[in-house]
Amino acid sequence: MTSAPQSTARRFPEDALDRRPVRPARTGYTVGMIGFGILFIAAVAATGADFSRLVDFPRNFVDYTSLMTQGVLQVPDAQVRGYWAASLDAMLESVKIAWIGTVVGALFSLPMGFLAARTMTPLPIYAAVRFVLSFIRAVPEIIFAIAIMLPIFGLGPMAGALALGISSVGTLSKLISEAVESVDPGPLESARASGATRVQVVRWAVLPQVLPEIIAIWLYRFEVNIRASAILGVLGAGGVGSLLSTLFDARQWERIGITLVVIIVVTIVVDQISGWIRHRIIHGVPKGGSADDPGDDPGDDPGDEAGADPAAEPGPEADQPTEPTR
Amino acid sequence: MSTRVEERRTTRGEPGSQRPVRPRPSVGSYLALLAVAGVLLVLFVRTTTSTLSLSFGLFSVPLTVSIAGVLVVAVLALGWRLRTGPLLVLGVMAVIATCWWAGSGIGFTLSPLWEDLHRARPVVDGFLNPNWGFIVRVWDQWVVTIAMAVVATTVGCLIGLLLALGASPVSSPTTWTSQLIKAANSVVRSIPDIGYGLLFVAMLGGTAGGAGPMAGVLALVMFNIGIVAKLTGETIDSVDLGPVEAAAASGASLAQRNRAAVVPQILPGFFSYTLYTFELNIRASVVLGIVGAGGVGQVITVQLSHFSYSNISAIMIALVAVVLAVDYLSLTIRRRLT
Repeated sequence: MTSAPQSTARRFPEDALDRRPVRPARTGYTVGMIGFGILFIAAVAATGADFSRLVDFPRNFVDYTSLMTQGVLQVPDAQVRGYWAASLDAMLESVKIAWIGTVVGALFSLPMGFLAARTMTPLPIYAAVRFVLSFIRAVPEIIFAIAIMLPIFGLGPMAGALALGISSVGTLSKLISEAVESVDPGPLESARASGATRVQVVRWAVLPQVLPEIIAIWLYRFEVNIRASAILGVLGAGGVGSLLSTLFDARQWERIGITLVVIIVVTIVVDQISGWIRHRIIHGVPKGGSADDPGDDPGDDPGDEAGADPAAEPGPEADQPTEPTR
Repeated sequence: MSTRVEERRTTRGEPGSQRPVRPRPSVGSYLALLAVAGVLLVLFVRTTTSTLSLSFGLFSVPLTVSIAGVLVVAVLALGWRLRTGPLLVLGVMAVIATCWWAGSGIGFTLSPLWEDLHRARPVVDGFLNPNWGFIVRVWDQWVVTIAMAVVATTVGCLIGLLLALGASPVSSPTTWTSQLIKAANSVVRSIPDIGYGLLFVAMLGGTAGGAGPMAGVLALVMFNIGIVAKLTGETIDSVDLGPVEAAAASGASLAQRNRAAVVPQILPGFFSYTLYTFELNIRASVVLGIVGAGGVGQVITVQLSHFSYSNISAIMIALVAVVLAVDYLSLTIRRRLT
């Protein structure tokens, strides 16, 4: 580019190709921004939010935050220790709910994930399963809780766990089916060539490739479910959500502070553990290596190594060779 | 490693029939696993006496213990038979133990599924006969819900973008700030959206005080900041460093460098996260309404207290339709972006 024009300038007359590129028109961009600005202002107006409330907000915020900090920092006598223990119990109950929900979801998602993979299933089944899955994904988990689980199981953690389980199936199966579809076709072909049945192909060619990724997906869903179980708790499905809503009703800010600290600590600890396990399971993928587009899985908060590595080869597990031999 | 070499046996016969045989895991490790299994069994037996709530129809207590025990032993035997590494077997055992802990903790039972299924009848009946007129009757709440989602997505995603720029070592002024912002972000992310909803409703006053939507928007903003900052931060981590170095070499300041070299690279990803967040917000605003933060969720709470499930059903169906529509819309926009 830099030296070429000088040497060729004599031989060819200067034309449009030799000029600097023209800056592309930005009208579309400008119109889009203006349109969005109008939409935003209209939305602000439409919320009917009372902005005069914000005047009081900083003072309230400081007041309540100091109350919460006092609650957290106060000398832990027997009563306060009881508060901490109660919060921890409630949070651990949330973790249990999330775990059971994840296990239930995982059990169903494995077959559903395979049925929803285009490469594994005939078209009619594929279409039907896909439809069911996208329906499940579109329905928020509170609906499963209100409509089905709370009436059957009554108020309690079991209802929350099963509601989480059902709603997990949608996302998990979708992610698993994507993992199955993006599998290396080589082993599948060789399995078929050596006369494997459909089940044998799945067992010996697909599962060894996708299992690490599937486990990572399950773990990631567990993290999501911990947060989701708090939502169900507000409806009376046990766990830290129930505790939080009672505390907020009573406006016991000291205990709220304690509970929030417990939530933060437990969530971060569980995230760290599960992140470590995921990292360990998906070998060879450097942390944050390939940030693919996790935006198209309508679960909550994807990201991490879990959904983000269809491009990277799921490495073999440390103790299990990828080629199973018998 | 040494066992791997020693134990590798070759099949006798012509060379073509030789197949690689997986080396046997060491006996010692499996004895240790056996000990772990024993500890687990003792644990199962002891903890099940303390939780009598477990009931599986006729057999109340022994069944659960035996199921868990058989599972543990089966995993051990299968691992030995398939020559699996001990770590994997240990992992599976840990999963079983966690299931036991969680299951006994929340009183896991499936018996209501066949005993109390009829209790869901009125609710399901209500859901199957949606009161379609109700959707239109509460249309103003729908507008509020969508408007809340728009405002919260815009504000939250912009703040999230700034935080992400600060959180990634690529675009952060110092590693120190990057670490700090990352830590703050994981704190923000660890509080569930409902927690923020309760917090802001308590601080501002809920729908009763007329501040529901405000509290809802603030809660959604916090919720979005966490998600967007994490996802975008990871995208920034994996950005192509060439343009960044070029900008730095031509004397750009940190802000100029981020503006010219980092942001253009992450913009498509950022937009798709934004659309994704918008979708999440519509769903989350339903939940937030339940704690008094405005929008259509608050209608659900009222109807729930009246047990008018056919009204709720109509709203839910409309919600699913809206979510699917937004999903479709964002899919098309994303396709055009990338």
